[in-house]
Amino acid sequence: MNFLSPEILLAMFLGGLYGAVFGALPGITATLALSLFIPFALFLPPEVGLAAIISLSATAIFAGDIGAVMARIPGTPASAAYTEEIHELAQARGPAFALGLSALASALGSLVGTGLLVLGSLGMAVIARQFSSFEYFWLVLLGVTSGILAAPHIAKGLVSFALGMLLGTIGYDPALGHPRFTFGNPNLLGGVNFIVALIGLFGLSEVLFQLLKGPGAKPQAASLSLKGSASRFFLEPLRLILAKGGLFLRSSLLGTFIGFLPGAGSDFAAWVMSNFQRLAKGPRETVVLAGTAANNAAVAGTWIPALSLGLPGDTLTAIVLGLFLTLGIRPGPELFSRNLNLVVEIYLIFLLSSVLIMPLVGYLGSFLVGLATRLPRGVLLGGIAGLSLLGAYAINNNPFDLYVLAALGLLGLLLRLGDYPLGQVVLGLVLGPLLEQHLMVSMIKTHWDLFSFFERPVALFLALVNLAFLVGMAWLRLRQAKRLGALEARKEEA
Amino acid sequence: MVWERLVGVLAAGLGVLAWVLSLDLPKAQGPGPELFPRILGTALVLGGLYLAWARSEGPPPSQAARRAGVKTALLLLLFLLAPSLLPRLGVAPTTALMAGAGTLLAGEGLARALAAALALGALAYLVFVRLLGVPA
Repeated sequence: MNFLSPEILLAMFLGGLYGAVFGALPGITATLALSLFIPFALFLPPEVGLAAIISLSATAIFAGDIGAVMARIPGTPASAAYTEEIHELAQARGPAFALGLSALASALGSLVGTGLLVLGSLGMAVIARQFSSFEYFWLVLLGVTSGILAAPHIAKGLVSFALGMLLGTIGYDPALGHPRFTFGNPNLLGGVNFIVALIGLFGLSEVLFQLLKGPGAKPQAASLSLKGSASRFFLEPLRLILAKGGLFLRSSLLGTFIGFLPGAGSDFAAWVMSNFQRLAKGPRETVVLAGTAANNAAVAGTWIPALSLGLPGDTLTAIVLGLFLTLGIRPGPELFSRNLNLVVEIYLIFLLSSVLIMPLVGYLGSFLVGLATRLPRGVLLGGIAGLSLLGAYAINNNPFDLYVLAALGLLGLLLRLGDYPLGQVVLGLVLGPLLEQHLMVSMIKTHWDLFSFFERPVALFLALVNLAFLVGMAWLRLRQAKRLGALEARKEEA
Repeated sequence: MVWERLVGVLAAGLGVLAWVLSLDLPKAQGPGPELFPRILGTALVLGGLYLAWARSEGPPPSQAARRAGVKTALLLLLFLLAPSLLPRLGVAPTTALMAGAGTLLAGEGLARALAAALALGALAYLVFVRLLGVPA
C-alpha cells in the first residue's frame, strides 16, 4: 500500500483529529487515548493502523497545550511543564497566537525529530546487528534503570516497575519453557495480554479513579474564537520561531536525545527544556517554544530505540511495540532487513504528520475541542467504561480477558490513589520479559559465568554506560532533594 | 497518605507471594525459572516495606470519599460479572450496560445514561460486530 493512498491519508487525518480532541481533554492522556484506540488498530492493515497511531501520538502531545491555553489545565503531562506560561500568553496575545505557537513549534520540532529518527534508527540498526544477548541485556537494563530513575519518586518507580515485570513473568518461562504462575489456567499460558493490561491500567482504572474522586472542577473553557485568525495562528508564531531559531533547534535536538533514552519520554524533555529557559530568565514565549518543540521532537526520538532495538522510549512506544508483537512484526535490526518498506513508511508518516497533519489538525482541532469539553463528565466516563470492556473483549473474543481487565483496573486504581506511576508498570511489562530472556540466554550460553557479561568490548562499554547513568542520576536526584529540603526549611523559617 | 502505605504493603505481599510460588517451579542446572521472580520479589518486598514505613503525607479518606467508594465498588463488581453476562447478553448489550451504568454512577441523570448506553451499544454493534466481525 502506497503511503499516499487514500486509506492511509484518511487514517492519519482521523487519527490526528482523535488525538487532538482526546489529548486536549484534561485527565485523558495520550496513553489512554492510544490504549482505547489499539483494539480498532488490530483490525486494520498494519500500515493503516500505524499511520493512525503515529498521527494520533504526535497530535495528542501537541493537543495537551489546548487544555492549558483554554483552562490552565494541561491535557497531557507533557504540557504541564509550561502550562502557566502558555496560559498567560493566551491571555496577553490571544488564544490563536498561543495555540499557533504551540502547533508550529510542535510541527517543526517533530520535523527535526523525524530527521534524527531516520539517521539515528538506521545507524543504530547497523550497529545493533553486531549485538549479542550480552549487549541487549545491558541495553534493556539501561531502559529499566532510566525508567525507574526518571520516576518522580524513585521507590514508587521501583515498585511500579517491579509489579509490571512480575506480571510479565506469567506464562511460559524463557529458560525451560515451563508454565509459570498460571495456576493451571490455560488462558494464562500465553501470559497477560498486553493490550488488555493496558486498557485495564489506563482505561478502567481512570473511570474508577474519577468515580472515587467525585466531580472535579469543570474546566472553564475560554472563548476560543479563531475566526479570521489564520495570520495570528500561522504567521506571527512562525516569525517568532525564525527569530529564536537557535533556541528552537537546541530544544528540538535535546528533546529528541531525551526521547531516545529508554524510559524518559516527552514529559521529561519538556520539563528539562522549559526549565532551562526559566533559569535563563527567558520571556514566557521562549519557555513555551522550548518546551513544546522539545516534547514533540521527543515523540520521534522515542521511536529510535523502538524501531532499531525493540526497546520502548516511553509508554506510547511500549504500547506500539506490544501492537507490533501482536501483529507478528519483530522490531529491531531484523525489521530493517526484512521489512524495510514498513520502516520507510513510518518515516514518511512522521514527515507528513509534522508538516501537514499537526498544523492542520491543530487548527481544526482547536474548534472541536471547544465542543468536546461541553460533553458531560459522567457521559465521558461511561463511554470510557463501555470502550474498555469492548476493546478488551474484541482482541481475543475471550471472556476470561475481562477478569484480567477488572483485576488490572483495580491495581491501576490503587496505584493512582497511592500516587504510584502507571507508565512504569507498562514499561516493566514490556522490558521485564526482554531482560529475563537476554539474562537467561546469556547465562545458559556461558554456563553461569558472570564475567562473560564484560568480555565483549561493546558489552563492557554498555555496562559502564549503565554505571555512569546510575551514578549520574543518583547524584542529580540527591542534589535536587537537598535543594528542595533547603527551600522547605527556608519557607518554614519565614 | 493511607493509600501509599496500603500499596506498599500490597507490593510487599506480592513479593512474598512471588518467592513462595517460585519454590514450586521446576529446577534447572544452575538458576532456572525461579531466578527472575525471586529478584523481583526481593525488590517488591524491600520497596514495599520502605513505602509502608516511610513518612507519608496527606489527609485520611473523607466521608464523601467513602460514599464514592461504594459507587466505584459497584462498577468494579459489574466488570467482574461481565464475563458471565457477555455470553448471555451479547457484546453490544453488555457494552451498553457498562456505558449506561458508568454514566449513572458518575452522577448523571437517567436520560444521559440511556443516551451513552445507546451510543456505545450502536458503536459496538455497527463497528465491532458488523464491520470488524467480532462474534456477537
